[in-house]
Formats: sequence, C-alpha cells, structure tokens
Amino acid sequence: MLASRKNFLIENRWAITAVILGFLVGFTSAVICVVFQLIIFGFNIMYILSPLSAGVVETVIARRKYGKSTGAISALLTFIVINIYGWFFPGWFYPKGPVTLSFITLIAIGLTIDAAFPIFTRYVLKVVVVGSFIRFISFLLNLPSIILGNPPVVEGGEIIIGQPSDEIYLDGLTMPLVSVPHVDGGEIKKYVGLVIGEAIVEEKKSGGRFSNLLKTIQPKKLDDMNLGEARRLAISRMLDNAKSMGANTVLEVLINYVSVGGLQGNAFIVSASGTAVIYE
Amino acid sequence: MLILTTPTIEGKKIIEYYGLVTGDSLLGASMYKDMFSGVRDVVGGRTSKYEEELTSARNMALKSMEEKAEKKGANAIIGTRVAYHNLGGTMGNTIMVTIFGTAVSYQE
Repeated sequence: MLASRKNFLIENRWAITAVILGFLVGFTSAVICVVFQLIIFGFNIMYILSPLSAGVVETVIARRKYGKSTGAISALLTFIVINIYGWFFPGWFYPKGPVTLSFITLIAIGLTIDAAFPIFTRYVLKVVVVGSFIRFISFLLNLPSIILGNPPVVEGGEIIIGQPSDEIYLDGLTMPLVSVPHVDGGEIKKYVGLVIGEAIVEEKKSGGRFSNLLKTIQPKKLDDMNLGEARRLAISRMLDNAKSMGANTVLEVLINYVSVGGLQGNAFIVSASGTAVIYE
Repeated sequence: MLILTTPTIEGKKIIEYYGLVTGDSLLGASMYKDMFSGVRDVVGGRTSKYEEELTSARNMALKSMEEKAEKKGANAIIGTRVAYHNLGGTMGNTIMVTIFGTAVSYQE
C-alpha cells in the first residue's frame, strides 16, 4: 500500500510540481495585483491575469517534463481562491472595494468553466445554442401557416423510408442469405458483383433540452434506437440492388454498425454488404 | 470488372495476384446542410439527403478502387471489404468510407 503510493508519487512528481508551481505563480501574481491595485476599467485585473498565468506555467512545465497536459488544475484553484477572497473577504488583505458583477467577471467565469469542463461548454455552445437557433428559424418558417390556421404536419424523427422488410420478407426468399463464401450442394452459375445497402437510424428524440443534456452522461439504452428496423432496411436495400443486377441471392453477407453524430445526438449507419450471385 | 467479397472465384482459376487496392472518400455534412435538411423536414418534404450522399460517397470510393485495379491490369477484385468511420470528434459530421480488396486476374 505504502509502496504503491510512493510509486504513484514518483511517477507523477512532475505533474504535482507543475500544479504547485502554477498555483504559486497565480497566487503571487494575485497578491501583486492586490498590493499595487492594478485596476483597469474599474476592475482588478487579477481575476483574468492570475488564473491565466497559473495555467500557462502549469501547462508549459507539464508538457516539458510530464509529457502531457494536466488540465489546468492550478488555474481552477487560483480562480476559486481569488474569488473567495474577492466576494467574501473584500478588504481583508488590503483595503479595496468588493467585486461587482460585470461583463469582465462573466467572461472570466466562462473561461474558467471552459478550462475545467470542456465537454460541457462545447455541448452548450454547439448543441444548445445551435439547436435554439434552428428552432427559432423553423418557428419563423412556420409562422405564416400558424397565422393562416393550418399548422404543418411534422412527422416523427425517424428517417426510415422505403418498403419495410421484416423477418417474413427474409423467410420468403427462395434461397436463404448466408454469411459464408461457399454453399455446399449447389452451384454458382455466375458472379454478379459487390452489392451494398445502407440505412441511417437516429436516436429517438424525446423530452426537452435538459433530458438530452442528461443523456450525454447516462448510459445508452438499446430501446432508444430502432436498430432492428434499420438493419432490415439495409438488408432489403442490398437485396434490391442484387435483384436489379439480375442475381438471385447474396453470399457472404456482412453487417456493420458505425456510430456518427457526436454530441449533436446519436445516429447509426447500418450497412450490409455481400457478393451477388446467380445460384442453382 | 468483377468485384466480389469472397476469397475465391468458384469454377475459375486465378492466374495472378496484383496486391491490395483501396479506395476511399470523405463525406462531410456541414452544419448548414444539416440545418437546411432539418428545415426541409419541418416544412414538409421528408428527406434522406444524408443517405443519398452516403451512397454517392461509397460509389466514389468504389470507382477509385476499380480504377487502381484496372491500372494494374486486373480483371477482378476479390475479398472486398467496405468500412465506414466517424471522423468528426464531438461534432461527428465527417464520415470516411473505405473500400479495399485484392486485385487479381482470372481465366475467363
């Protein structure tokens, strides 16, 4: 137990040194700013300068010696310390006025939150802001028809079109689909070529922005996706391709799933590929 | 050009292997495109723009693989595999389609 803790300390000594040094630099700069009253636009510049310098020192040392960034821990620490000082103990160290909420404090808070939780801020910027903008545009587009009294019919989120192919459709084939390259007891008359079918399935959008935000940290449920339907659609498109090329069955069918969409909502590409043949 | 996923051609003899041939293409759906397909969904016409573009990207990759095989003097590609990759990071909007196979020539 003691040995493993010692190992951990030795392995991460440069990361710890970087955090401590960064915090010291940030703290010193904050003290200097308070003592000399470096005020611009009626605002002490330590709220921006100190976390920034702490983060810069920490990142430079960590990159050089530790090999990777440590995530600006000291910037966050410095920010918390000087904000506790500025909001709750004004004039305790040196006589000066309390912190007031201004545009610059808001920017500083935003920058620090971005350094601490990058995925969260990116979600807010790219998904919530863009999503609200899209909603606003669609509201503007719908406005004339709402005024005229016939709101447009908005269909569900699933992008699934074309004929549905279900298990009955697959069972009705004269020759079953196989995932192997060779079938005993028959003869391949002619190779027709590669056939591919694709389908995109989107996650069912349910609830508002807040539940979607929760979904980014919750594990996914299989019920949220209509994967089975998408797979059948991909297979049926592949079969349609094969039939249009004159084949009667498909050998060596492979099915692939790729996740796309990132933070903007989840979608899956389901693809089925195989070799179309004329088989007897 | 015969393109197959099987490792052999039944009843035919492969006379020469030319090696691996690949083809790939990128499908970058921009935010604006997404936005306008969303708008179109709202206005009425159901769209599967993304699926159409996926098919055209795949055909482009297939064509570039075929051209490479032809340049090598092959008349068939065997053991073909198709793969889709997500390259977009947190935005997740760029999709890469890669197709690869073995260029061979077989006796007719």
